[in-house]
Amino acid sequence: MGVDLAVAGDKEARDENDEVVTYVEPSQRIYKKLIVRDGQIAGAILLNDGMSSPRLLQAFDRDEKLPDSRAELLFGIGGGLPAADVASLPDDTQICNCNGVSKGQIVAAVKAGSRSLKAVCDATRAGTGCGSCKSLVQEVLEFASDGLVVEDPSAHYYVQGIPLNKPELVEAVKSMELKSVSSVFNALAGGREDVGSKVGLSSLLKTVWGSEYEDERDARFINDRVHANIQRDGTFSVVPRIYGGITTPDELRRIADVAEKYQAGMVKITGGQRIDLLGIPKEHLPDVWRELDMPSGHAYTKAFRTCKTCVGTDFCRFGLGDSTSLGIDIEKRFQGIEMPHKVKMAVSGCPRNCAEATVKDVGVVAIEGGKWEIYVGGAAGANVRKGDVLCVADSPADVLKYMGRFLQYYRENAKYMERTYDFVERIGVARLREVLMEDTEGLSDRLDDDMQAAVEAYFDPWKERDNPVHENQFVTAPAAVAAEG
Amino acid sequence: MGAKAAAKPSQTYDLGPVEQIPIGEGRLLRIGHVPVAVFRARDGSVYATQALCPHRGGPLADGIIGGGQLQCPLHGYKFELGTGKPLGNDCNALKTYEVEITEQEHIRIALGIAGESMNK
Repeated sequence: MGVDLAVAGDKEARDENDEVVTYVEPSQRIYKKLIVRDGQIAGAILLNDGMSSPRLLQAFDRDEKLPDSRAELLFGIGGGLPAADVASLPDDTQICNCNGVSKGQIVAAVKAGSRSLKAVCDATRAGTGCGSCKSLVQEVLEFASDGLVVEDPSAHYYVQGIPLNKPELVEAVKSMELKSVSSVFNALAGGREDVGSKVGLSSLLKTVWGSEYEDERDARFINDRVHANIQRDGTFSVVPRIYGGITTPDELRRIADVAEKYQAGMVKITGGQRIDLLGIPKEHLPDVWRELDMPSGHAYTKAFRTCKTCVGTDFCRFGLGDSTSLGIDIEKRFQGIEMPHKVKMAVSGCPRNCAEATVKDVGVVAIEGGKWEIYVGGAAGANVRKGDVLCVADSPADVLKYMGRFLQYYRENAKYMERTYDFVERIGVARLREVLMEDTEGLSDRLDDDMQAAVEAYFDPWKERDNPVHENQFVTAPAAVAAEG
Repeated sequence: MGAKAAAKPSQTYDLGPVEQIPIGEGRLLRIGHVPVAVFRARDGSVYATQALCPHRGGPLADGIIGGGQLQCPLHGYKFELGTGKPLGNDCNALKTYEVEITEQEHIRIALGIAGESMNK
């Protein structure tokens, strides 16, 4: 179980006039404490509180007068608190912080006929950025629709253009031997391409078919056509792989030379312990890669990204496990493997956890006795979640094995664009332990074999610098034509 | 066939072989100083639109196309390829240009006088 902590305002009573309301449930790790001053919340500490936190934090932010019944506050009793919650928000309250969509705009869309979450999101763009506001959008929908919410069947489809959920789609793809995105549209959608489904389908087919997958480049997002991350001005960012965050003076010199020669607009140290060259035009990508002479860091795609490490046993006086060697081994093993969403990892050499491994999709922490804790489903982005311990491994080799098993299970069972933190919550860590560690479904060997096949299929996409798939792969604008025609 | 042409005098230009655009993708082509995003759909049809997304200036030629729609690579805004109509967003419609494939498998595009769009 993750830890859900919200803190606001004062942590202690200021004087005897302040009222302190607390509730503790040790076995569930629930702790709630409110400082009430003049009938308003002056401070709150809410641990694993679930439903009532947003309402309480909102009351704190807005200096709302509290109801006389404090229990109603702490437990949201009386039912319908979430609905009452959004009902009380002013229309100009921003619900979607990525796209700046207000409650009023969402209500207007619902009144205009959008009655499902998908319809509301399509109509307003709410929830289409990072996606973390979708539950709130759903609440506004329920509030505004007078109970006429329609469950859109397409909410369960793997992609919008094919009316099948993921298991059904995988079954159809296998039984009909559909190995390309266009063949899926032809067989399962009457030949009708759907622009929003192509990328998701290519991800799924690559996972199902591996090296037999029939790649169609138009089904890839631009980042995956040119193996770099498109920026707001249409240029690209280049992040070479720096295994485990360990580099050399020679490598740094090459990076500096390339940055200078190709006039990178910015050279940035990334959060994943690598170096990002920004502002590179598409035309220069092949030359930049050739002169860097380093493999792709896959910083542009839905795949394993990087493995952050701490200094480890070589130099750190606290290190218990060799985190840098393990981090390098992890990157060498899982580099380039496609995933339903990006996957970030880290290895810490001791429980001080300098590599922040407990908030990574998959994280490893060395503990005394030569053992390694493996955390899954951690997050520190749009969501913050401490990962759950999948197991404690006895050796670096076992870490690689169990990690790979988890990743293969995630590849096969997660929805497209479902991060591990949502996946682990949805499946439950207890269930994951049963399937992956106790092998209750008899899947372990097969998962290990399939992951091994994916590892062996690794190919550095930056090698396309010498063998482009099309003569204009890295060309933005082929030669101009005279205006006089 | 791509977009409707407005009833204005226009000039057509041969932009070269259609093979310069990978199947199912788009590329930025320039007629003099006028940049045009040209798309080659899997079903053989071609489309031409203004080069930059009206939302935040995204390079539309780097977008994804399918089912007669175009999705901008920067923020996923969608437009109808044939008409330029925005889909699920409040942007202005894209300018579109009449474009066809000649017998020699070349792209031929029609522009208004002096590189003006015909249907602005």
